Parts: sequence; structure tokens; C-alpha cells
Amino acid sequence: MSLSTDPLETFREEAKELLVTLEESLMALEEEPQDHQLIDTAFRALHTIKGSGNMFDLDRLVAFAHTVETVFAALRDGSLELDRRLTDLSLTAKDHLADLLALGDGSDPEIEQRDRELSSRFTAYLPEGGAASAESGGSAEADVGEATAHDGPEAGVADDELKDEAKDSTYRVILKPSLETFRIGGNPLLLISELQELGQTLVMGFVADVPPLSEIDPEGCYLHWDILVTTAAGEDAVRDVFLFVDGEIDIRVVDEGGFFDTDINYKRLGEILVDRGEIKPEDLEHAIGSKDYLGDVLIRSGYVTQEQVQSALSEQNYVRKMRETRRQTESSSTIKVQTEKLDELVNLVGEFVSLHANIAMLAEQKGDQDVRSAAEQMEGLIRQVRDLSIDLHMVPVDLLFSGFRRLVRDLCADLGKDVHLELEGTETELDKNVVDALKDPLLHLIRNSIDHGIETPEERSAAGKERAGRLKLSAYYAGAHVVIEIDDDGAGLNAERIRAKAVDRGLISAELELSESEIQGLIFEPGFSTAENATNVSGRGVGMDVVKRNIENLGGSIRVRSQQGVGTNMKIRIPLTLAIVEGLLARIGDGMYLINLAYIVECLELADVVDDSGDQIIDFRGEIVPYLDLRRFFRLEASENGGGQVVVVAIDDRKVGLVVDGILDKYQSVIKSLGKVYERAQGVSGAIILGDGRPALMLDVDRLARVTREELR
Amino acid sequence: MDGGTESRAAVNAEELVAHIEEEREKYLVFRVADELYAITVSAVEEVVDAMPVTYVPRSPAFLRGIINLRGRIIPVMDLRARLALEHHEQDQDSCFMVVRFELGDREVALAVVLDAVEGVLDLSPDQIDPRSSIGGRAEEAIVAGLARDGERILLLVDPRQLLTEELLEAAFAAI
Repeated sequence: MSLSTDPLETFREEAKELLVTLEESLMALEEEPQDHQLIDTAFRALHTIKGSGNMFDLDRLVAFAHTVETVFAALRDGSLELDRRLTDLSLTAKDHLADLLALGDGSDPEIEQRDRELSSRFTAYLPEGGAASAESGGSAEADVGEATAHDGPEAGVADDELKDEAKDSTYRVILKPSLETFRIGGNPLLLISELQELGQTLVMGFVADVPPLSEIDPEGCYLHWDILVTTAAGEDAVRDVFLFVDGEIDIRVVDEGGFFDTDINYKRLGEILVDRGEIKPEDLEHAIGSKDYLGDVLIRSGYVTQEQVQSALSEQNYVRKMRETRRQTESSSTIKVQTEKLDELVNLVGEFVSLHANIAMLAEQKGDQDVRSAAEQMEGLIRQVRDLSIDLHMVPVDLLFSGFRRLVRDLCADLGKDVHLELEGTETELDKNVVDALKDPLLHLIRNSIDHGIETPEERSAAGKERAGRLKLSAYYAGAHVVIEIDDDGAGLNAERIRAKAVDRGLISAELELSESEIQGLIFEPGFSTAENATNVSGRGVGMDVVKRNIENLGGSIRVRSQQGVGTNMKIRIPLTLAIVEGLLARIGDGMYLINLAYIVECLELADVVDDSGDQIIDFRGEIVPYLDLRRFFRLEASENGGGQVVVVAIDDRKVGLVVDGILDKYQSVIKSLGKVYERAQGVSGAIILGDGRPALMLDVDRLARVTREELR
Repeated sequence: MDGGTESRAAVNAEELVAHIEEEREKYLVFRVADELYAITVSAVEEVVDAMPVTYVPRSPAFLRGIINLRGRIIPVMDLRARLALEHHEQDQDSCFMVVRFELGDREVALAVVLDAVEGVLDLSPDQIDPRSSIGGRAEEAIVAGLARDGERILLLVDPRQLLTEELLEAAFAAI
């Protein structure tokens, strides 16, 4: 295993991820240029690249990142606005950063030339002072010097950089404006909304001091507030908000962000009230003696008001939640595991499952009750470990989808098209290995859709469509599968042209009668797409047949549905995980074979449903279904009482029967590859390990179904 | 000065011996039918007792199936079938030799069924005759040379020739 421990290599890996983040936020900013959070994300990515790059003396990278970062700092503080031109420039900058990263401390005149050009284009966005700072190449002294000298825009930058290091802390602000507040032109609500800009807040209002209507002064301010604010801006920033408040103001830290708050639970209600000075410790002692709920007791005894208890409880809840999310974000952003290790883990768990099955079997044979119950307990644990290890291997398809934003954008620019990309179901999770393997096929399909499917704005207008085309990528669960659809509202497939071309290429005979959907399916045939219609974009010698094969290699399938003039829909079905499959264990001859449960419709006695005509068909609830005798297909010797069972499987709603000698049990297992030596073996797609340690084979249902249908013809 | 030359000569002799030692390679010697074969131990992962093999249907006769070797699925080759020798029932001497070699673009592990393992032996280059002309038999393909060990003649196996892409392609296509 080659686990790299080279710190520079680690930096490169991290920087690459940061560049992806940068690109994603830029793409998203294109849709919402005003989104502060996105600007912030982009800024942070640049800032981190700069900071880490510094440690490795990658001067050019650091200087360039600094220049771009300075512009983003200006965007962040609002002194500059993001427009399309700047987004374009920033995307180019992202590519350039990737080049600089690959270049390291080497030299390349072309990249250096581009470096100068891009740097000056970015510097042009900045006011004089900022430009000077950028040209100084990010030297810390220069920054500080400038900032103290004339307190220019860099002051803001330096300040922001400090904030990055700070952790989120939670402050409690008690705001009791004086009765006169409104009369002297104060507005507490403005203060609160200013505070809300600093970060997440919880505002609790107190109305207990409002007098009866008869005594009320309509212009008096009787309200006061308890506000919890969580921000990384620091206590001074919170204090600054209330600089000119007339009245009582109290700010204190209730929860400091840090690595050490291992305890999610916050203070108890009593402690909060004592800390707030709302009750005395001895009163608390007194109240705790009672059996009733503490809050009720305190209110009843008149120590505190209902509102105060409410406020304290809200604080408790709020801080707990903040801690929880902080812990989650900390853990999800800090732990990084190499996929090889996860693969290894899934493998080991598979071993574990097999070993356990073995132990359980032995315990059964020996009739040892104690061992048997120990094995049963173990089973529960193993199942949890297995589920967890599979879960670790799952990633959201967003990882795959959002990478296509840039592709769509660039393709549109190249081809003069206008396409709006919609993503749906991005949280759907898939095995990391599946996601990686899907990248190329999807890339190809998207290219195809934009190149050949969606028309130019002019053509679309002429056809009465909106000028901008729509391309939708969606993902959703369907049983043990995930379905990914690529849907466009382009020109659709022209069945006549496809048919003519297929005849021309000798794929079908001119007389063959085919349904519309069968004709459309021809685009996946090897030899259908050729260099003739290849453009710069979707050409490259890869045809749809390769896309289909890649997806089938993952145990998936692809289907096309298209209506001319309306659009095209590609539907990909892919198993949730490649690692573990739940199946039915069947006997064929002397061997055991696993049939993926996801395909199975029903198991029947062959004799009950077989058609007497001699054709290999069965009557499945009135439906004519072809079947394949697997013992014959596998050329296994006949055994006694063989061929009794038929397993009806369905692929894309098309059913076939697979005849086996017996059905044993449900079985869940890690699927192992048969390896290169057996890659040409037909009808089997992998191996599993049975309870007794022997391997068994996994049936390639997709392939067998195809063979069955072909034999029928 | 004389002493210096002498000691340098001594050093050179030592280096020479070390060099020869380095050139000597360890070989695993095994028996299939009546022939003795030798394979470099650097290609051998381990030798294990014969175990039950799961048959993989629709595959060539020289592939016997797969085994589970501590969680790894490893294909099993019947060397007798590969060499077109008559079949031999497994007995207590039968064992599996797990070898690693390049098959096309990938490194694969393969368990080879042997009649018996004879032992491990050092062979130096001067004991090896890099030629395999022993008369046009099927084994010629996998033999890269002959080695003499006293009275015994050993056939040196080239692990990369145990299985090749071309062989697999042709054999599967014939099914």
C-alpha cells in the first residue's frame, strides 16, 4: 500500500480539494452573486492555500493566491461587487492556481507569463492601496506597515485574517434599553438585526415589565431582551454593536469555542440561573429539595419569573445545539481516511461475517448451547460493524454532480449554447467506488446532451422553446439501487435517422421491425457512433457503447427515452454498493450460486408453470416469460432431482426465468472479484465466501437474462 | 606498498564471492508427473496444502476453479492439464503453490496444483542453460531453461508463461 506521508504531497492533495471548493463556490456565486457565505468560502479556500503554501516556500503560488484573495477580501467587505467578468477571471485564476501547484518550484515561461497577466488583471480591481499590498507579494511586514500608515482597505483584510483563526464563541447579551430609548431616537430592533449579522442568534424577548394598559406610556420602551449570539468575530465586535445604547447592557461569554468541550451537555437550569445572578445559590439548594420540576418550584416560590426560566432553558438548548453542530463540523472536516483503508475495512468485515457463519455452524453441529448463544450475540455486533463500514464507504452524489457545473458552463461557452443545469437529490449516497466509476460515463452523456441534444438559443426560439436549455441531473433511491437521470429539453432523438444509420452500418437489416424504444436503444450498440459525427466536444472516439459497458460493469443498466423535439431522458440504475450484496443462495449441479435479491421477483416450482409446447417458456401469472436452464448453460452434469426451481428475475421490467436445482437460503456477503484470469467467464460476475469458508459464485443476472432472450429468438 | 596491494586483492576476492553469492538465486523444486521443475522463489508467495476448489463453469480445462485463501479469491491452475499430461487424483502430497506474475497489465496471484514439493535449492548462473529444447512438448512454453543439480535435470519455469492473455483469450473463445 502506498500511503504517502510526504507533507508536500499532503499539501498538494489538500490544495486540490480547496481548489474544487473554490470552483464550486464560484459556480454557485454565478447564480447568486450576493451570497456572502459563498464569497466567504471562496476567500477561506484562497486564504488556506496561501497559508499552507507559505510553509513550503511556494512563493509564486503564495503571491498569486494573495493577489486573488485581496480581491475577495474586497468582495467580502462590500467595497467591490462581483460581476460575470470577475467570475470568469476567478475561474481562470483557479485553473492557474492548479498549474502553479503542479509546477511547484519549477519554472515554465508560459505559466510565468500568465501569472503576470492574471495578477495585473486582479490588481486592477483594487484601489491604489490594495494594489500596492498585492504587489508586495504578501509579505506580512508590508501589510502591517500599510495598515498602520493610513488605515486603508488592508486594515480590513488583516482583521479578517485574524478572525479566521478565531473559533466561534457564544455570548449572552442582556439588552435593557431605558424607558426613554424611543424618544431619543433609539431603535433596539436595529441593534438586534446588526447583531444577527455577526452570526447565529437566539433572541428572547421579555414583556413582564409592560404595565397595564391604563398606565402605559405609548412612547416608552418597556421591553428587554436576552440574546444569544454565536460568532467568531470576538467580544469586541459584539460590544461595538451596543456602543451607543442608552440603558443597561450586559455582555458575557457563555460558551467559548475550542477543542476541549468534549461534553455536549451544557449547564443545568439551576446553574444557569445562579450564573445569571437571578437566584441565590441557597435558594437553589432549597428548591432542589423538592420533588417537582425545578423550574416550576422556582417560579412558584417567586424566586424567578416564568420568562427567566424560559430564557435559561432556551440558553441551555441553544448552547447544546451549537456544541453539537460544532462537534459535527469539526469531526467531519478533520478526519480524512484513504479509500484503500476503507476498502480494506470492508474486506475485513466480510471475512468477519464469513468467520462468524463458520462458528455458528460449528456451534450448531456440536450442539453447544453456550457457544451458540455467544455466536448469536456476536452476529448482532457484526451486523452493526458491517453496516457502519458500508456507511463509511458512501458519499453523496453531490461530489459527482457539482463537478459538472464547470463542464456545462465551459461547454456552453465553446458551443454557443445557453444551458441551465439543475441538480436534484444531490444528498443521495452511493459507494465511493461507484461514484468514481460513474464519472466518465456521466461526463460523456452530459457532453452529448449539450453538444447534440440541446439546440442553440436561436433554434430554440424558432421552435417556440425558451432560449436557455434545461439539463437536469437527478438521483434517487429505488430499492437496492440508485437511479441517476439525465434529462434535457433538447431536440430529442430522431428515430428515422437512427434506424437509417443502423441499417447503413449493418447493425440491423432493413426489414427488421422495431419499436420506437428499440430503435432508440440502438445508439448503445457497438459501432453505432462513429467519428463522422464527432465534434471536438463529444468525439474522442468514445461511443455510447462504451458508456453502456462501463455502467454494466458496475452491475448497472442504462436506458434511453426520447421524444423528438421535446427532449431526451437517460436513466441509469446502479447498485447502492459494490461491496455487499444480499442474495438468494441456489444450487446448480454441485455448486452454490448467489442470485442478487434486487433482481428477484419470485421463486416457483418449474413443473407448475412450465409451458408444455417444448419452447423454453413459462406462464408467469398469465405472462409469457422465457427461461434458461442454468445447468445446461453451465454445461454441468445432470444430477438427481435437478432443475426443479425457477427463479423469476426482472431487469428493467423485463422478466426471465432462471432454472436452478434448488433454493437454499438468503445470504448476505461481500462480493469479491474473480480477477483477471476469469474475466471472460460467462454467466458469473464475482465470488462470495460461504459459512464453511468455501467460495461460491455470484450469477451475472444481467448477462443471463440477455442470453435467455437471445436464445428465444 | 606490497602489503597494500595484497589487501586490496583480498578485498576484491571477497567482493567477487559476494557477487557470485548475489547471483545465486533460490529456487523452489517441485514435481509434476515424472519431471522436476524449478521456479524462482521470488515469484512464489507460499505453498499451501491442497484444499477444496470451487469449479467455475464455462472455463478451460487447465483452470480448475477458485479457492479462498484467507479471504482472497485465487484462481487455481491444473498444471497437468496445462502441460497436456494425464489427470492425477489429489493425494496427500498434492499441494498448491501460489505464484505472482504479470498477466497483461495486472499482477495476478495463481494457485498451481503440484504433485509434490521437493525442496528449495540455490542455483548459480553457471548451472543454468537458458534454452528449453527438450523436444517440442507442451511444457516448452512454460520452460525458460534447464538447470543441472548433480545428477538431476531441472526444468526452469518462467512464471509469466504459466498463463498469458493470448492463451486465456483463445481458450475461453473455444468454449
